[in-house]
Amino acid sequence: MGLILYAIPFFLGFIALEFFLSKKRAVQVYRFHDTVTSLNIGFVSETIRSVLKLMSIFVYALVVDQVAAFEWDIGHPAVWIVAFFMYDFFYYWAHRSGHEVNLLWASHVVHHSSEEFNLSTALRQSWTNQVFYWIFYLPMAIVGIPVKVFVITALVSALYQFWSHTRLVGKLGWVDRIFVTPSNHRCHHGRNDYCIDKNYGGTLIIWDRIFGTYTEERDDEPVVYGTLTPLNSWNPVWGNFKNYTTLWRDMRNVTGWREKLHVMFAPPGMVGGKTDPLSTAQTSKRFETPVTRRQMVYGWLASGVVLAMVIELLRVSSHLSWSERATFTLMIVISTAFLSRVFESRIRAAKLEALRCLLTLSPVIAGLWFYPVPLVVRGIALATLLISLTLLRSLHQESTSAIRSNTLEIA
Amino acid sequence: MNLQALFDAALAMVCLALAFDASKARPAWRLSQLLLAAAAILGALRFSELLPMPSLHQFFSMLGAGVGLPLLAMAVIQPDSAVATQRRFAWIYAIVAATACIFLVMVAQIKAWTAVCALLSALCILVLAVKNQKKLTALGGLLLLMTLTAFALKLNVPPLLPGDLLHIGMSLSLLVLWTGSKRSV
Repeated sequence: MGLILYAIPFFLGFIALEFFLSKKRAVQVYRFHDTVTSLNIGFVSETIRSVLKLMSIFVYALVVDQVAAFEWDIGHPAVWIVAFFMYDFFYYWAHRSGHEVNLLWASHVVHHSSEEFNLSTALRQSWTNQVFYWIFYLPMAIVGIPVKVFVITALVSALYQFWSHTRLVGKLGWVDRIFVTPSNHRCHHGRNDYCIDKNYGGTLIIWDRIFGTYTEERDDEPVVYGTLTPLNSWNPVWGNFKNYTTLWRDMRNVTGWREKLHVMFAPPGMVGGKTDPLSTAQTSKRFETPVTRRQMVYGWLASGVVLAMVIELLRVSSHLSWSERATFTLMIVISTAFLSRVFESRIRAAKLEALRCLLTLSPVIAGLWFYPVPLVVRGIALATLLISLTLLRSLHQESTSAIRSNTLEIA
Repeated sequence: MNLQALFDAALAMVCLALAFDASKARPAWRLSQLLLAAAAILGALRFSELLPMPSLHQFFSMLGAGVGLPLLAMAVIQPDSAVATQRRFAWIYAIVAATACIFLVMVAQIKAWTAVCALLSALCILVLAVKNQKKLTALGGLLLLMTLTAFALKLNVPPLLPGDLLHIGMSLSLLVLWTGSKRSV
């Protein structure tokens, strides 16, 4: 938990740096709605994954304890080198399965749902992938790689992958052929035909070269980011569960348990013998909704509150009961979902968001939170609530007048 | 070399031979034989005391019974299914079954799970082979069922231990099943 708390300012700092550098170079790398959605998905994923990670580490430790073939000396550098290569190899297969098995793609797709490619995309991680991916690393436990070595190797790999999500670093020559770099990871996130199901590596790209999934970024065809079936929403909850609903529908559409299982484990886009049409990456439009200055101010304020709630949850989670933890997490999830409705200018979105603010912040202000809250925090919560309500009122008026003018135009 | 190691080595050789004999078109056969071979090789190393790794042997025996035999059953009963004919689905089946095994046996401590998987696999092979009038496959299924039942009941015929009987019976039944499935193909 502590490590995540330390990592958050590090990640946000680099995102800010990339934003300013892109402004300086006059390249549009960030879009407001997309960035806020990525950050909110990332914040929530940290709270959910922190619990699931503990469970997967528990199973890993159990297997090491009961099965381990050899005892490894943590002090020996060879152990770390072997662990690094093993982890990266199994990461490749876990990641590849995440793209080539329907059930796992339903979980991983959220990371690819952004139509931008920047450091905030690195944080756009699935809320459910920890349920599946730990399985792929169990061979390391069977060999006996100690838990501590496994956890640190996984952390280093995750930190490494952060920097590969940028458009500001070009091709790096021979480095691109050995390591995962921004250039070859850009291809991985592309929906151009030559990018589909390519470059799965985590730290080393050599696995892709060995198993035939490597591709180089082309200068004559710029990478278009996103998925073949776009999400077309800013809603983090929908982003995380849309493909599960599609999978469920596809399973219902076939008869017999064997066919249903086949749908679950078939490659994405190949259900019922039909394949996805060729990518329309070069011609299709990105998902876009109008953004106003007020919306931006409110978006940052609400995301700040979400981040504060996430940090607080991670800080106090060990003192909370499971039901309190679940309630707290649910409040954060609902906050991100309601905010996305404001971004999408849905009907009554501002009113519902105001109600959500009241229900979330009132317990803090009234001192009825899960635990005693200092007076300063209660004051900040009150100020936040008042500012939020004021902004939401004007956002509501803004959207109402926009609807009215649209109606008049149509008339 | 003692008898236990000898019979484990024999089983390993049978499994490896069947794994290599199986064509690429039968990945489930191959994978199931490789899993059983891994357990048998570790058993041979353990009982011959060349490289004793008892916990790893137990683990792979668990996978052999909980993953290898159900996979074998799929390969024998449904030779045209996706699991039996496509490497991708054979691996997915193996990974899902291995995860279930680890969870149920190691985490939830339901030790009977592997025995249930093994016995059900043998029973399915027998019943469906009888139904489809595949005599040799039915014989293989019957042999496998008898072997696994004898092992579950810890029967022994001195000087042979229950483990020795298991390895002899498995070697024989695998050979019969392989011959039966080759004929039906």
